Amino acid sequence: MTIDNHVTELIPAYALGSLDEDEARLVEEHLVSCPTCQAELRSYQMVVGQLSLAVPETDPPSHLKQRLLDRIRQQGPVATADVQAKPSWQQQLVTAVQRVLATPAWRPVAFILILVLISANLLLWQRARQTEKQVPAGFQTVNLSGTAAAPEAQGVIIISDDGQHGTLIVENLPELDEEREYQLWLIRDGQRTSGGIFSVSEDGYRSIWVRSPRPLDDYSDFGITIEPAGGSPGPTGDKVLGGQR
Amino acid sequence: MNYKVNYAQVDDKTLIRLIVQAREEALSELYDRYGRLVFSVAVHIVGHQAIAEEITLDIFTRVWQKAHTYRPERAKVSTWLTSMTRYRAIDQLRREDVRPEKHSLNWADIWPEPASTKNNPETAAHLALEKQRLRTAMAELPPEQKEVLAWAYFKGYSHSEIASELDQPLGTVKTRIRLGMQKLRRMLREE
Repeated sequence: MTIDNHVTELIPAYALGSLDEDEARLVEEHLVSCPTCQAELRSYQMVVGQLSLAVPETDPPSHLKQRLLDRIRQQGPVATADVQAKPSWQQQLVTAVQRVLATPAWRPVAFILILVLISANLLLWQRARQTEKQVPAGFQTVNLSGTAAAPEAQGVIIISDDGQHGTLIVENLPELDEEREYQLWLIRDGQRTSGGIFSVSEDGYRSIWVRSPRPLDDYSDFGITIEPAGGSPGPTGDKVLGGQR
Repeated sequence: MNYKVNYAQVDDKTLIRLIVQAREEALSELYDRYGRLVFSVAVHIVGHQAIAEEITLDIFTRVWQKAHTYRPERAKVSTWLTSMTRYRAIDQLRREDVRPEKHSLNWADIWPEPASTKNNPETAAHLALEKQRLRTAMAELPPEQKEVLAWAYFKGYSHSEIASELDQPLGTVKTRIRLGMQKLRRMLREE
């Protein structure tokens, strides 16, 4: 198929990051459902990785190492201590859901439904990973806070422990009229990729799968904006929620 | 009985795991192995010593904080580090909207440089071998392909930006990048 050939030819440049925006989007959309091209991309990403060895080498100043050690000592072991003491994924999940459902107005039925859905999804993911030897380290959760445009809003993205998929849960987002929807943005090195479009129900709640061409934990920041119904190629409207890993 | 780890002997993946466990000596060893590489990538992209130093510190600090996100099946440690460095450096370039000087875009010559004595011998030998392989492959690329790859790699330019910068047709730039990357992949696969 000529369209696929055209996309395949763009993959080396995509790996290098040198596609113009419209072509990059074309490739990203295609990648979501094409394992062959995903494999192609990985092989070219390895080439890009190798290119660093063709960079002329320059010694950093000798004091730089000490500056590094001073800096991490200042920060203290807190961050990594959290990682070491990681609770089981079930505990993390419950904490994450509890945080989102802190509002008393929530119906208990909805709470149970969410837990069941998410657990079911996660069990599927876990079963699909057959060669996993290590005990899962647990999820990463990304908390999203409301901006001035939606100060009451809250959200969380729960990323599976292999970093590939995620679930977004939002609450207290204002309901929008038919002409507008919310759109999730996955942000990496200043580039924004759509992670999904959705509307909320009356109580301001929604949960969606997050699908992306890259593993979800490749992205550093996440944001949700108001867009025309059907979404936009890039963020145009007010940002309502944001967070970073 | 306490086992004293000899950090110079452990492989890269294990080093990252030790960093996850907040072992400062492991981060120190990682810097000894790859600090020069990270700094080199940074300084040849941003073209500014002090900024490159900051970027290097940022990258290793990020490793300290996010080592648990490293996935061995997706990339080698060196690739992980240099990818992060390149993205961070190009991001810096874009933010400052610096116009790069053409003469700063050079790939290294193929003659391997003396291995840094700080590397553990295995890493040093491995790196030297990879460098030789890659630089030989680069030497076989036509100069016009090397040139466009340099603009893409060091400055993060898109096809149309490169075409504009070098005053070449867009189609020519696209083809050169594609052919260059394909050739490199082919050559690096043959072992």
